[in-house]
Amino acid sequence: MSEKPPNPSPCPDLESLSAWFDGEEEQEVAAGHVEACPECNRKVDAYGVIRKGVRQGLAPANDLIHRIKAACGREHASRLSRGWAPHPFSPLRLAWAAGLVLVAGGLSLLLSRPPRGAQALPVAAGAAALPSAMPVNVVTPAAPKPAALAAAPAGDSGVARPVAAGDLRLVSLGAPPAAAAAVPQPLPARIRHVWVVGDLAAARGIVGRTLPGQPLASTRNGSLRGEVELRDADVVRLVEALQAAGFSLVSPQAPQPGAGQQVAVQGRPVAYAFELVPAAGK
Amino acid sequence: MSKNTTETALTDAELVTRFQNGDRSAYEALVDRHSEKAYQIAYGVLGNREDAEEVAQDVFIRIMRALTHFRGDAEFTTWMYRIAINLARNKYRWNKSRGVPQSFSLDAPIEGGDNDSGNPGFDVPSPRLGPDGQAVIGELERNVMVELEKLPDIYREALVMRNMEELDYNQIADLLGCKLGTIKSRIARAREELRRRLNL
Repeated sequence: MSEKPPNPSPCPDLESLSAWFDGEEEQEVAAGHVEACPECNRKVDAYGVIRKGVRQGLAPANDLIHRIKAACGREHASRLSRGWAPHPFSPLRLAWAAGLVLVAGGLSLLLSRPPRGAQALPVAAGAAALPSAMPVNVVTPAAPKPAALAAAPAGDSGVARPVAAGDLRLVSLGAPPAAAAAVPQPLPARIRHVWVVGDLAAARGIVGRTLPGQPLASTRNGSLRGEVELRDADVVRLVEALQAAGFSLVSPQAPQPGAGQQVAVQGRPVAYAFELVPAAGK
Repeated sequence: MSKNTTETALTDAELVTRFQNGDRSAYEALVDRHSEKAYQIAYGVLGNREDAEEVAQDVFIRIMRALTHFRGDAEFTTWMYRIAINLARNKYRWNKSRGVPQSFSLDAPIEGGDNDSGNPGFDVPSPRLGPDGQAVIGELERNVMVELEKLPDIYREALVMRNMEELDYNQIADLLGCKLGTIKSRIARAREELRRRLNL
């Protein structure tokens, strides 16, 4: 008969011990072993210190929530100014839905009537319910020959003929999407651009000449950062100037070089934050 | 009952519906509730406070843009976590592509004073975890964050997500696209590496 060791169960492997600590493996690791084993006990204590340290260290800056809300507020306002609304039954969506219904109605009417030439469909009542900024334009088939027109008695519903795709030229509701996308947009209140530069020292000089007195902070990762408040038009000009100086913009946010016409200049102040990053290998 | 009190009692799904119906304050309630988690996830991936804050901000702007189309097929938090991970990983790849060290402390001085010698840069207190005083424990906890930032990214992100309490191993594995065993291993290795570096 051998003497019973103080803690007969073997120490669990590290993965099991760690999972047990997280409550993921209650059955596989005996709590009694950890209680009795000084080495495992020490490890579990260390896990506790690590967990506490991570949790405390993960607390974000006090003002992060406010910054996020402010950014979301700007985004919300920007989208509203572009005609976006979050409500599923917003006037815009209702207008589109009404337009679709009218189009469907128009198609149905066309299918049930003989061609009578180009004329306004009876959409006036529906259109009256739409916002005045959203005119409904339904263009029906081109006018048939006068003889056919004369042959068709007024109010005659006649026999439907199939409507070919070419019969309908265009149904539009407000501005077509492509045109809407091309409408210049105002800049947001804050922009952050990352530029890749070939020579950081030269880039510092260029920025110094372009924005006299503008302080630049060197970061530990080897880039330069700055922030300046400019009028939106000046931000557009600055972006063009930096591009012309050989900087390469990698951020997708407007304004983009060569696309200044897509910016609706309103004379508003814009906080322009920029980071100059040396190209890899520089 | 005040509006804020009402909102704190609402579920995420109810807040989402309210926002979809035009109540912007419901979105702010979602930000109140989840921005810290978004930050923590981003930090886990990036190991960098400033980048994590930037990603957390982007997360909620992206969500705001997409929320009108959110149908609630998944939990709001799951959706938010995925967006946070994707944005943080994008940021990580971008940092990597330009050769930025992936783990560094923004608390370090901006110019000069580089302490990146590979050593912890602090005096590790006694390895004994007995009742040596709150000061020692407090110092240890601060040191944990210093060393956490230097951990390999795959270990750090798993450990950080675990320490957010709400995420169990299965959820972490799902979010990170790994097997359960991989997550279990990464968390254990992260702890062991920290324990070794901190002489605990």
